[in-house]
Amino acid sequence: MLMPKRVKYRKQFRGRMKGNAKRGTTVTFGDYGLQALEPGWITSRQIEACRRAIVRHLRRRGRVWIRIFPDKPITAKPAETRMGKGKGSVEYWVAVVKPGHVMFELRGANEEVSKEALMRAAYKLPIKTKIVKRTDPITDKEVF
Amino acid sequence: MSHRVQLEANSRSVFGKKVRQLRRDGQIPAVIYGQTTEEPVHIQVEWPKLRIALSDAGGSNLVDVDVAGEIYTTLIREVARHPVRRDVLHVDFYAVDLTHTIVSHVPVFMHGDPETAQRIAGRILLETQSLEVESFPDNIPSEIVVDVSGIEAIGDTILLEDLPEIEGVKFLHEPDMVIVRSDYLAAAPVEDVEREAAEGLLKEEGAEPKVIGRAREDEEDED
Repeated sequence: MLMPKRVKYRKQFRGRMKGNAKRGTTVTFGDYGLQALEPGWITSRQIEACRRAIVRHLRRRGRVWIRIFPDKPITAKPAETRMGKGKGSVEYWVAVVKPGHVMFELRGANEEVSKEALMRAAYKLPIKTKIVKRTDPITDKEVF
Repeated sequence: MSHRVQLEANSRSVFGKKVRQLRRDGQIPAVIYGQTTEEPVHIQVEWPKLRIALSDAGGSNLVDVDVAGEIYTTLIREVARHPVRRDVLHVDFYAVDLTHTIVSHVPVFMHGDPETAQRIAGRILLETQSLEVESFPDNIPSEIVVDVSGIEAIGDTILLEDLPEIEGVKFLHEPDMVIVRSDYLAAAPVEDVEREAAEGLLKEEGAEPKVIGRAREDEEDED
């Protein structure tokens, strides 16, 4: 599963997820993409589950791009532990996603197969999503 | 090759967050800058007129923007949109000098790829989505269409030098750049796990990244 190779600090604050995505909001590499409509944390396990769902449905006919990376450590305290004694240990890693972010892209399969593959990935995610196509940056019309 | 689009605009005296009110009133904030303007010209355009101009001109046709009687010959350089709703938030017009060449990106499309893919029992892949070209502003092609019907077998490619020359347009890439290639339908079976391990993406459960920041004393004590 995805996680950073090295980090500057072991633990982070939770942070806030205000506003929309400022970058990564258009389909850039592939022909179809899965765009987030809500803010949320996407865990490395969820990203891996999505990738497998897409790759299995495409049967290696297309190419997949993952445009999010889980670089935020999430800590948790063990069960039945009294409060205090410092922050818990890192349990898993998440990617912070804001509305508008295109999380997955794919290319090389026809429209029907591509949409079904992305739909299967969407079922693995804890946020609302929509399937988007690559569009012209000026006219916003579909370009293929 | 290219045609001109006319657009009426008014000069704008509202900036920053106050432009939200403009958008509520059906006006889209925009700016003109470039080769023929010394200072940026801030303008506002009525959305119905702008919508038609954007659709008509795209990124390759000239737009004559009329700001209170003064005409600016421009190209649409950037359109800022809302990330989810796709509403137009702001438009950049680039004022061009018709006597100087400019560099622009032209989208590339394939023609005849489904039939060719079926004939060779493979897939046709477009390796680039746009090409960088140098030309006069009134000579920019709106698109470059690559005819792939000449591909005979899997492994064949179409290079940039194979494309027909367009008068007044110079490609700013190496002539041997691959534009289209054909490939087998299914990629060679490589186990995902092996591939990921090779890319260094697979981490064992419970693996920890290396901490390069200054560790606090109490954290060191925990360890």
